[in-house]
Order: sequence, then C-alpha cells, then structure tokens
Amino acid sequence: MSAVTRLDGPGGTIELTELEHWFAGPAHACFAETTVALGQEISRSLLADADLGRRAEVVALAFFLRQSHSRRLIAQIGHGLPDRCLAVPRGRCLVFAPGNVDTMFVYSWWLALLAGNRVAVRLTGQRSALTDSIVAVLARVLAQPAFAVHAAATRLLSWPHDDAAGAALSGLCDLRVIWGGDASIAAIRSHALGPAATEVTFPDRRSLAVFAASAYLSLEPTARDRLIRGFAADLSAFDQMACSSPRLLVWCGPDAEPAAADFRPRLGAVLAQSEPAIAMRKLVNAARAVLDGPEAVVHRFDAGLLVLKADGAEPDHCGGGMLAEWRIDGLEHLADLLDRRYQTLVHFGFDGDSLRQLARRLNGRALDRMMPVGKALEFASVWDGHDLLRAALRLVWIEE
Amino acid sequence: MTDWLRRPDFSQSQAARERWLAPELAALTRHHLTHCPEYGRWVRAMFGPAGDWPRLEDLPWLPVGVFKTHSPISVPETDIVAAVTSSGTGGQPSRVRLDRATADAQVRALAGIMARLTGGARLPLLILDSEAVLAQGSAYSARAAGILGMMRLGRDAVFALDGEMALRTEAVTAFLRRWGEGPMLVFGFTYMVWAHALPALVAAGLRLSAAALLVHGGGWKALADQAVDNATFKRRLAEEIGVRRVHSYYGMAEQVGGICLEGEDGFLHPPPFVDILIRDPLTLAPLPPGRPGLIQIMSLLPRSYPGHSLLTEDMGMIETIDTGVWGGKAFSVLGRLKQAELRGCSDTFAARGPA
Repeated sequence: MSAVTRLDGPGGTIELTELEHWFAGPAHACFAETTVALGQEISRSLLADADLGRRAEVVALAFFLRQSHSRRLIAQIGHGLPDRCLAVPRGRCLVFAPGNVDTMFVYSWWLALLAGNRVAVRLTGQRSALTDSIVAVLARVLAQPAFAVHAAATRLLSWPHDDAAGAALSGLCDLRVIWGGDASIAAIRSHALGPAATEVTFPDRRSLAVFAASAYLSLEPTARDRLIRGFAADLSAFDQMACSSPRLLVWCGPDAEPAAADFRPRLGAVLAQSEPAIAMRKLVNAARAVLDGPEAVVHRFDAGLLVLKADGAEPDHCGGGMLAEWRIDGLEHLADLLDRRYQTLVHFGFDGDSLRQLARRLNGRALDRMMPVGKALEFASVWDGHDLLRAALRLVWIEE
Repeated sequence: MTDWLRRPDFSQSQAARERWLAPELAALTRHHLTHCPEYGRWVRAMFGPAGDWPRLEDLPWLPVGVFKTHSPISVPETDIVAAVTSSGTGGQPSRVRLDRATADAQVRALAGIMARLTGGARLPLLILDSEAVLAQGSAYSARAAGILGMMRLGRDAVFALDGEMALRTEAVTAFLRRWGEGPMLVFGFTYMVWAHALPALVAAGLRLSAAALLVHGGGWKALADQAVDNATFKRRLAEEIGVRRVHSYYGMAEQVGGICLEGEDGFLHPPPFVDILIRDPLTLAPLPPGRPGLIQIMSLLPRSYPGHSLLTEDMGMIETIDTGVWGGKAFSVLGRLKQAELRGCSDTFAARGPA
C-alpha cells in the first residue's frame, strides 16, 4: 500500500493506522480567540513573504484570514442561528482540495478549523510551487507554541488517489468537502461516508459576465479603462480556468454592437499574451465551435484575447483569454439561457433590484453568485450556494 | 490536373511557384467554401467575406487541431471511400475523409515527389516496420498510408520487423543477399528506424547496401528526449549500417501525399503543389526567412475535405528561398508547440499522470 505523505509537519510518511488514530481525536473549541489569532498570524506571514505577498490570490487569501474578517464571520453566524441553538464543531472534517487553484484549500481548511474541527486536507501530488510555498507558511506558523492546538488538529496530506487513505478517512469523517470537478467527485464518492456524515461538493461550474451596453457607453474613457482593468483581473486570475472565471460576456440592450466594438480592443490591449500553445488551443476551440455553428465572428487580439461572437455558442474553454460573446435585449432574458452549470454572474450596469429579480426568476436553476466587475474570484464563506462555515458546525438545541 | 502531379518540377523558383499555386489554391478554397458549409462558416468568422486571396498569405487557413474532433467534407457523403487517421502523439487522433479522386491524387503525388530521389525507378523496398500496421481496420493510419504509398513505388517489399518490433532476421538477410550492393529503397518512420530497426540490424550484424536510399518521416518528437538530432541520426545510420543517402520528410495525416523532402542541403523542400508559410505564434503575421514560427502548410491535394491550407502546431523556419538546386522555400521543422500546463478548479485528480 502506498503511503500517505504529511506536508505540514516533519516530512515523511504517516501510517494509515496512525492517521486514523489522529483523526479520531477530540475537536477543539468552536470560534476560539486563539483560532482568530492564528488566522491573523497566517495573514501577516503571507503578506510578509516577498514572493507570496505580491500575488493577487495570496493577498485576497490574507485579507480573508485577518482577524477583523474572522470576527465578522463569527458574528454573522451567531446572528443567523435560532435563539435556542448553540454552535459546536461537527468533529472531523475531510477536505479534498482542488488541484490547481492554489489558495482554495486554505479557505476550506481555515473555516473548518475556526469551527473547531479536526481537519484533514488531501492535496494533489502535482502541486504548484505556489501551493508548496503556502503550505510551508502554514507549517511555520502552526509550529509556534501558541498554536499547538491547531497544529494538533491539522493534517495537510497527499496520497495517490487510488489509496486506502481516502476510503478510511471518508468512513471516519463527519463532513466531507470535495472541490474538483464531476469526475473527481464521482471517484471520491466510491468511498462510503459514515451514516451521520454530510458532504459538500463543488462540481464543474462555469461563469459569465453581463454588461449593460448603454451604461458602458455612458462611461468616461477613464472609467471605461478602470472597468476594463477590473474585468482583465477577473479573466487573468488562474489563467481564466477557475470556476468563477467569466468565459462568456453577454451584452444587454440595443447598444450592444457599438459597446462591444469599443470594449474588445481595449480589453485585448490590457490582457497579457498567453503562451503560444494556449493561443493555439483558443483558436482550435473557436474553430470547432464555428464548425458546429451558428454563424460567428472571431475577434482575435494577438495571443491575449480571443472573442467568439456567436449567440448561444459555448466553445470548449481552455482559459488564457477566451470569451464567447452573446447579446440580449434585457436582463430578464438571461434566465432562459442559463442552467445549473453557471455559477458566477459578473455584472456591470445593473442595480441590486434587477439582480435580485433575476435571482428570483432563476429560482435556483442557475447562478450562485453575482459579483461586480473585478471581484469575480473573491472568495466568500458562502460559495456555490453553500455556507461553508455553517456546514462545519453542528447545532445543539437547548431549552431551559 | 495530372502533369503537375506526375512530374513535379522542384527546380521552379518561388515566384514561378506562387504565380501558379496561389490562384489554384484560391480556386480550391472557393470549392471548399461552396461545398462545405461548416468550412464556409469558419472562413467568414475568421477572415470575413470571401475575397480573391491574391497572395498565399491571404488564403484562409484552418487550425489542424479541428480534425481531432471534426471531419468536415466538401463532397457528398456517398463519395467518401476512405479515412486517414493520425497516430496522434497528443492522444486524440486526427481524421480526414477521402473520395476516390483525392485518394488517387495522394498516391500519384507521392510517386512524383519520390521520383526526385529515385529517378522514377522501382527499387527493391525494405520497410523498417511491421506488416501488422496495415491490418488495422478500414480507417487506415497515416503510418499505414505511408507504407502503402511506398509499396506502390517499390517492388519486392519486405517488412523488416515483426509484430513485436523484433527483426525478421531471415527475411531481411534474404533481402540483402538478393539485392547485394545494388540500389534499394528503405522506408520507415523516424522513431521506428531509430528505436527498433537500427539497434536490431546492428545486433544482427547486418549492413545495408551502400547504394541504399533511406526515407523516413513522422517527426522527431518521440526522439527529442533522447537528444537525437538529424545529424546524429544520419551519422549513426552511416556508421552502423552503412546507409549514406538518408532523407527525412515532413508530412501529416491531414495532408497525405504532399510531403516535403529533405534535400542534400539538409532542409525540407515543398513540391510545387505544396507551399508553406511561417507565422508568428502570437500575431499570426507571416514571418520572413530566419524567423521561427508556426508552420502553415498549403497543398492542392485535399479536395474531398477542407484541409488544403492548415495552420499546424509545428514550429519551423524558412532557411532560404531559391538558393540551391531545389527551387522555392527550404525550411526546417523545429518541433511542436510546447503544451502548456492547464490550471483550474476541476482537477482534484489532475489527468497528467499519477497524482
């Protein structure tokens, strides 16, 4: 049997029996002040790291972990609970982290730890250098004596995916969190959960943006450029391959044509050139979509941006600056075009009422997030329709 | 359309080639536009309304990768008689469909091109591969197509390897004894020649005729890990099995028949009914000689499917134009585009090998 590798402590492998024994240990206090302090210390350490501190996704993570945000999360959860309920940890939480969205595992780990759980995180064997750097920071902070409880409650692990560890820990856990696509979820689900365990899954999702054409055209040039920089940031993060990366841009209103024509070259000018292999893949995906129909126009801005203007087309996505472009007459029409695959709607030019109306119209059929331009990938504890912090808690009903 | 196929004149200058080829290719593009609606959609989407395309660089192209998922045709379905598939080093194979006329043109084109090296003689043929390659169903692989094409040009063909890629020692020994030091045509795929045939012949102590002509193609990709370049390849063949005339070729399943042969200068030369352009991988603008970029290859052969102008995923460079006995462009292939790492949410278990 191939072994489990521990990444957060003294290197080397752990025997499965030892891991099971560890996992069976007690939970710690829910919403403890020391856990808030741990978040604050990790946040500080990430930002202090010369390399990590420059990466947008790491800065976002550090922002999430700072103590004022943790306190706000705790307060919000408290407000949301029924009067007679006391929150306690679920107990043992098993997290399957996504392969290549480097920072995502930290959010899941942290929220489960804040709720008081023991947390085992399974990371892929093919980690990026960035993931390894983040793991190293976590290990360093957890080694401080003040955080001994949290170190004892944490195992950052890696094991081959046909290994017995996934099966054993699945059988022991109270909450299983699976990031990572339909195929991964199906594979992990072959490991049975215990009778009382629950599961939160994050399957394959895709995202889009909707812009009000008239609102765009009424912007001053500097405001247009600011909007475009924000949208470029949404597209650039994780090479446009995250679930929340917009891959479709819908222009809304009768001015769609002039707005799109002004927007495309400005966006093309600010997006970084993708690697030649990705540029080729974008071209191939666009060509395949055109061969399948309908009538389309390809707008290519060197290797940085490829826009496939074709209503209804959903070209295969390879990231690196590729957008399908549709047009609609009014926001309400979106409701007929989307399905559950669509997660995030990046919006510009619509007020809160219009967005809420759209959400009501969709009535759960699509869209779990609506975010302003520039914030497409900003993580929140409510994700894909689940409240991750709430999911890590068990509620005790107490009547005096 | 027969003469340019049967007796291609490799000595033609680039200007003379383009004068004839550009309008022929433009006419072929119009044929595909008219008869293949999907292709028409692509040309309109990428290149705008149909034009005259007076220069080669104006011609629309199709990214070759589409043939991994799509197999568009420009003739009635009922005219299709065969399909060619690539082995697909990147996994998914490509597939193009042929009617009788296109299949015939491929065969005749190959014969005409090879005559540049053989003088048109039907030489005894030693195939550095296994006959098993041919027995794989109706859609034949580009490897099988290459072998079958060569078998039509040579005579008394012998396969040097068995299904396990081991040397058929008796058959090869008999072939060599029969043809002695006379001329012979030896054909194989680059990787098969290097990894299987050469070591096996050396181990068996066999040397080929000093008058042997070895033609090989299929790419260096599989050999790149072993740091084998063309010079090493040739030196080892000469030293170890005595073959001194070695010519590689550049060709692909999506354009069978229209191969570019390596000349005595070590560069590749398109036949007159084929030409190449090098495009900047980022801007796709055509590049002058000496600048590496993506190879676009154009050929008059594909009539049953819109594969007459393809943007490949191969990097290459034009070395010279009209300088040697081979007129037109002389180019080299520098390898495939490096595949980039994909990122994303949906690969907890990345499909790039064991986690």
